[in-house]
Formats: sequence, C-alpha cells, structure tokens
Amino acid sequence: MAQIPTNDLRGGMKVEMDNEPYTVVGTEFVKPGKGQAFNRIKLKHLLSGRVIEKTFKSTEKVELADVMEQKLRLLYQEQEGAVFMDDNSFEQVTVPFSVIKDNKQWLKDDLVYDLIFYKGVVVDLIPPTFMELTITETAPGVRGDTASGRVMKPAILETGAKVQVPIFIEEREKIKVDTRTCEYVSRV
Amino acid sequence: MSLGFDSSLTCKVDLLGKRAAALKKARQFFENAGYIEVDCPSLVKRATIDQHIDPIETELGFLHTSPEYLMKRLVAAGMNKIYQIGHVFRKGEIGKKHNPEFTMVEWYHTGFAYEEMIKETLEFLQTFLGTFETKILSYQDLFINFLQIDPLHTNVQGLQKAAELNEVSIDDNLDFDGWLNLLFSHVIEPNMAMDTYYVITDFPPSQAALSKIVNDKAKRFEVFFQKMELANGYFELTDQEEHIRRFEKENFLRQQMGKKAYPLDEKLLASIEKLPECSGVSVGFDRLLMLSTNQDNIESVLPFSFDQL
Repeated sequence: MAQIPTNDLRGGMKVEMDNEPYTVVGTEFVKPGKGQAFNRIKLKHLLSGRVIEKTFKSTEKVELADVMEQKLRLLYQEQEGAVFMDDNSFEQVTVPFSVIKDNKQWLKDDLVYDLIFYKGVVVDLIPPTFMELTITETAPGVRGDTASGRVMKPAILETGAKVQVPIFIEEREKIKVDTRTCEYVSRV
Repeated sequence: MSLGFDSSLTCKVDLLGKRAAALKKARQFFENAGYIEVDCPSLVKRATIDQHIDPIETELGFLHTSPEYLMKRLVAAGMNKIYQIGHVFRKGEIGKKHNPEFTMVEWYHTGFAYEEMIKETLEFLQTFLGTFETKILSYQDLFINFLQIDPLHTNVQGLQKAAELNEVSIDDNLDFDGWLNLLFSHVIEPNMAMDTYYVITDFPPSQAALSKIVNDKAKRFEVFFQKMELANGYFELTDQEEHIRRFEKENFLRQQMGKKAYPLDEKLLASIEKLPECSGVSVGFDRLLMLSTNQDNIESVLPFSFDQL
C-alpha cells in the first residue's frame, strides 16, 4: 500500500501499524521553535476499538491500510450471518454475525448498510445513523403514568432492537431511532 | 467545488478587532521603551540555517523564517534599539499552535544584558496576559524538577529510560537533542502549572542556536505561559568564527537528515564583526493573542489560516 507522511495524516484516515489496521482519530503537531517536530497521533484499532497514541518525527511516513468502505444492500439473514448484495455488480457477500456483533439489532432486509473491508474481508458493519422502524412489542401507555413521573417505556422494534419510547407511542407505530445511541428521535 | 459562504469567518469579526488592538498595543509598548520600528523584507536571498527550520523557497529567494539576520545587520550598522512586527514563514509547520505563515515580534537592544532582556520580555508579555507568578529555571533544573534527570549528565539511554517511565514512546531513532525535545514537549510542557510564567534559561550548548555560550551554558532563554512557548531570546553571539562553526554544524545536521544545506550569509557574517554586545528576542504574536482571547486554535486569531485560504 501507499505511504503517507505523518504530517499529512487527518482524522478518519486508515493506517496500518505493526500489521494492524487503525483509524486516525486525532493528530497533533508538536514543535519547539528551534527543535525537532513531532506528530502525536491518536489511533483507534479498526477491529478491537482500542485507542492508542503514537509519536513520530514529522518527516516519518506510515503505511496506509488496505481499507475500503462499500454500500451493500441486505438481502436476507441466515443461521450464521447476513447476506448482502452490491446493487451494481449483483455480487453477494455473506457477513458472519460474529463481525456484525451488536449491530445485528439494526438489520432489516432491503436496506443499504456501510460495510468496512480490510484486505478484502468485511470487518465491520455500520447501520444508517437514523432508521425508521415499526414497534412490534410495547405495553400500552397507562393513564396516570405521566403523573407519577414515568414518561418512557421499553419497546421492541421489528429488527429486535430494544429502545425506550414515550408512553404515548403504541404498538405497530413507526418511529425514528438514532442507531448510535439507541435513542428514540420522533414519530414517523 | 463548494461555493458555500464560509460562515466561520463571521465569528472572527470580534477577534480581528482584538488583533488590531493588540498590534497597536505592541507598537505602543516599543514606542514607550524607545525602540524604532523597522520593516526588513520578507523575501530574502539567504536562508536561515537551522536544523529544524525549513524555509519556503521561491523563484527569487526565500521567504524569511525570522527577520533575525537582517535586523542584526541593522544593529551592526548602528541601530541600538529596534523592533519588527511582521509575517514569517516556515515550511511544514501546521497544527493547532502552528501556521506556515505567522506573525513574529522581534526586537534587539544593544548593551542590554541577558537578565535585562528576560525582564523586558516578561513586561511585554504581561502587557497582554496580565501579571502572574514567574518561575525562572535553568534548563538543567527544569529537567531535574519535572523528570528527575540531569540533562547535562546523561546520555541517550538515560533520556530514553526517562521517556519510558513517563509512558512516552516513539517509533523512530532520535539523537540526544531529539530526546530532550521529545521529553520537553511530551512531559514537561503538559505538566507546567497554568497561570505561571516559566522562564527557561541556560540551555545546553547543543541548543545554543545563535546565543553566546558562557561557562558551558548557552545564554538563551524561552518563556512559556499556559503550557505554550511564547518567546525565545539570546544574549547574542558576536564572534564571527563561532558563527561560521555553528552554521556549518547546522548544515551538516540538515544533510544528515536528508535536508538541503544552504550557503552561508556572507553579508551577515561580515556585519557580525561590528555587532556590539546585545540581546534579542522574538515572540509569537498569534499565540499571545490565542492566550489573551482564550482560543485553543491559532486559526481563530488569524484573518485566514492556511487551511482557510
């Protein structure tokens, strides 16, 4: 892969260090007026999410990681994983649930997801930030609940995600949720 | 191409007013102290020769990285107290505290001792930042205080160990001064107390730049405030031969790093023969403004940072 001077690194870039892929989360240029220039780089491991900090001489180069992001449509889910398709090439990819992890709760057929490939293999799935989903299960709101200070209640969405919704929301209603925080945003 | 109006500029209206007022205040300070303003050119024929400072080269010459060489020629010609406020340029320096083009305040005073220049530099800084506790520490005491290591009696291994103890690591090889710089910027600076002026004096001879070395200590000082380097001053070197040796050493170090060596500035060297005993200092004006207006990014106090062009 190509190399890049640490001076040109910007947040979001993917680099490879000690054969491991990282996302650059922050960079700081440090230079005494008359002294050596350094770049302090904060990196998040692409797979484990562990954050580390590294310092380089600013002239030093680092390897860019072979990381690619692709939008793929979810076709269906199987026992072990989910099958996605590229809308342009019709090529199909099966992504094991062990990679999708907690984001399994946001999988809905026929929607488009961002898949992160490292060296050609899917390593992460990012759901749309906001999704509109139907509530499949929630207790009916009880009159008087608000008086006791209860304004939210648990609900289960069609994808299996559990979120807190205002008590006036009923089963089979469609709501907008923020997938980053699992929070209710609005009625649709 | 995006043609959206850059709304970040609107936020600058207030700060640029403060910038104008600060420029006026700086000039007032020098006028009261009896200095004469000079405006030496930014486009110069001879580059600054410094291992870690890279000039921007143009078709006709270089953009100066500081007005030092030309101001010294004026001092040698008989100007006793001069100051310059102007833009200087440094290649590759870009970050929250750096912009490739920035404003430097530099002044020289003949017959002015090192200690007197430290005092005047603090007075200048206080004009903008207010009066706070001042700690004057030698480079040696600074390292002993913050790192329990004597920088004058250790080696690369000793510094490397001090770095490890402070959880600072680097993937590259560094020379002795490189390790000192790393420890300074990664351990000492972040651990400096807020609201305290730190004056660092008596630098190791290897970091003398163009200051006189007396009893194995470089008569160079730096001032830090709110963990930020603001001023760098010298009791100026007046020995021509020593100048040549220092420039040649910097050129040698540059070449070792794979950088270009530059021809020596003969006109400067010729003037050094006539340079009287004097002290000189430079202050990063934009950083001063960052601190006096509570901004943590240099771009906030510049009309346009390089990234905003």
